Amino acid sequence: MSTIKLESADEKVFEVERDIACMAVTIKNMLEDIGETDTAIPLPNVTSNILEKVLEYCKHHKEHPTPQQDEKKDEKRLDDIPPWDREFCKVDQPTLFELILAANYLDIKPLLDVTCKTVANMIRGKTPEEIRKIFNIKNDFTPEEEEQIRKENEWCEDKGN
Amino acid sequence: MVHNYENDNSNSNSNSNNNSRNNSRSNSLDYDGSKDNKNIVSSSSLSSSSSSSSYLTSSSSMTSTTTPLNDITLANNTISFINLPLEIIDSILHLVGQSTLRSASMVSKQWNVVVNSLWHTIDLSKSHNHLTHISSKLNQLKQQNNPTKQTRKKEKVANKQKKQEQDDLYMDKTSSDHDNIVVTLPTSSTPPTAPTTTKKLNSLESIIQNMILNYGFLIPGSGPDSTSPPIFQRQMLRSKKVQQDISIQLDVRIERFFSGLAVRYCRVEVLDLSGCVDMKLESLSTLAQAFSSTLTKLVTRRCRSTSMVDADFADQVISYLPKLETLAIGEMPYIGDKTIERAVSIAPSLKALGLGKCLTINDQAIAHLVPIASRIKTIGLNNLTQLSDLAVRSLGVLCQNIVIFSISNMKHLSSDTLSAIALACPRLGSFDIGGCDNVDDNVLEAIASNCHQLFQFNISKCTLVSSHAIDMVIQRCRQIKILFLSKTAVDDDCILNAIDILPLEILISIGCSNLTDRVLQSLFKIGNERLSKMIVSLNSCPHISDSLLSILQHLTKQSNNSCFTED
Repeated sequence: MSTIKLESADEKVFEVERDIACMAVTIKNMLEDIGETDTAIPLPNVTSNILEKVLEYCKHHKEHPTPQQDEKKDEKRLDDIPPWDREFCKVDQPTLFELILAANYLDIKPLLDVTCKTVANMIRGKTPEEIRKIFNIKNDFTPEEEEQIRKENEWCEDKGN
Repeated sequence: MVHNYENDNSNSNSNSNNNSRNNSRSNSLDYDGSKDNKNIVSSSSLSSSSSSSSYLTSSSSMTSTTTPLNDITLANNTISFINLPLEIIDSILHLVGQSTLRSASMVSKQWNVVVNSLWHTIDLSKSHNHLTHISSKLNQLKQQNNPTKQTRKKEKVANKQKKQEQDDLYMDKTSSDHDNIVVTLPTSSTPPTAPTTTKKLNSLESIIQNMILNYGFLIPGSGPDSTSPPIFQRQMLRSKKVQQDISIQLDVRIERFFSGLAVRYCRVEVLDLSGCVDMKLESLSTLAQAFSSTLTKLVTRRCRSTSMVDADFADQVISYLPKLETLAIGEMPYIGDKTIERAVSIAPSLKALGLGKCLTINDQAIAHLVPIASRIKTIGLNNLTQLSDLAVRSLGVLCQNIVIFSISNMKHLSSDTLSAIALACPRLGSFDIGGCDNVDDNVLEAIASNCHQLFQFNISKCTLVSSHAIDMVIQRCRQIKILFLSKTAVDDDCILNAIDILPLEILISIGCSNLTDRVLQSLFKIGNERLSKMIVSLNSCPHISDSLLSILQHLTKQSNNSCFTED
């Protein structure tokens, strides 16, 4: 099994199976461009702890390929995160967001999907105050502005009938 | 407390609305097209002028693969949701509906700007109490009043001038006025007169109370002199002039509401205005232009304003919507072949059309769809009895990829046509032929032999079909979840088979004289857990006892009516 080397932003080198690394389309494209090489591929946008998590994800899914999802299924479903992935996403917020950025940069669609769904689940159905709490955000509206926006958004309140 | 709407609106325009618009326009979202969010690619037309806020600049730098991705992390140390690249926030927000968007937009100023700039869905179909839905109620009430047209016209003109003065007058009311209005409401009832008048007044009052509570609506004052504050009195509602005033104010309010949406949002993809019965074409056109680069789904069912005429709808709405995939214009009384022709020519991705109860859709309109038949996934032609059997057949047999086909209550469609459609459409998932008088066993045979993807099937009121033929469909189409068999010859064995072999979720079989208590007894045997997830109605079947029915009701999921009224 051929391996390649990846170098994180903090200059740690990871040696991984080529097939696993190529789950990242960005890396796959790079390898296609440069051909066979012994030098480590620099990934200046990904730190070593995040890269480690990403590679853990790729390794797991290489070994446990998920069956092709039914195309007809509603993509908006948020409760269809596989158990292993759900556990994988149980990390602190900064890590989760860094994983999103890394998945986006490395172009690993399943990882991007599952991390985005995790974030969507954090805000879905929540009140503004609950969202503020979750993300530790300060309410910087004046009461007048808040009332103004409440009125603007009145149309999308479900009134139950 | 801002309670004067005029004030209200101008505030919003000068503050947050303009802000959000400026910002959203500078959200360049100019990432490379290789990424997979198709929705954003279209944003290139909203090209960047200058990025005013810092998160925008940093996020646009994220999109280039050569720029270090950790800029934000390094700069802010901890990265937060709102600092993610816009295209990522966009895909996260696409996973939530408008009520969550609403919450998110109220979190903070920064969130408000970002969320508004990415707002993807406006669905007013369920806003029954919203001002966009109550003007028709008001008009109905006014018509009950039955003034001659001429006097009404005169009143309208007079009130337009009057209104201007009033607007000026009530520009800066204090909060005490507002309280006054609300507080006086319950106390100022009048002795009941004729029942219809009372009923009318009650409706008017509830509408107005709703408006006062929710929108700071001011009833024009009719106090002792023109400068007195507008204190609400129920008695006042008897005056036609006041009713007219309210109606005009409401129209203005509705127009402002829609233009407000067009200002605040710019990337709306789904616009559902079902039931905004009096929305003017002009307002709709404003929205269509604002969301031109993103809108994929437009629903204007029951928008019955006389301004919604075919040619104008085509020119001023459809022409702006090249991305349209779904167009639902059912129950619009003036829409015809110009709209359909335009939609087909301007929107290359058009694949779903709802035309039910559009009285002016004719064979010619349907003929426009023939060239795109193979990409149509959904079509609704319910109740279009003006279409010829041949026109429906010519289109239907070419819709080889269609998934949802609704042609209920097309009484005249021939058995041959319906069979030919079933035989031509192997991917049919939902086939609604309820109330088509000529459905017979041949049609069901065709369905049983070819439509094995069927998950929803309606043959209510098809009296010609035999129970044997229904059973054949049940035996061959094993994916049916939703079954409508009301007023058919369906018998016990048939239903027992359906319960046994189909993943049934909804079974509506009202008024079937061949059904007996046996059906209920076996339904009770399938276990409470499965039953509790099912919607079952076997009402009005003469041989089913009421006592068992009421037990069934307790054990099954309670339906909300929409299940039955869906196309």
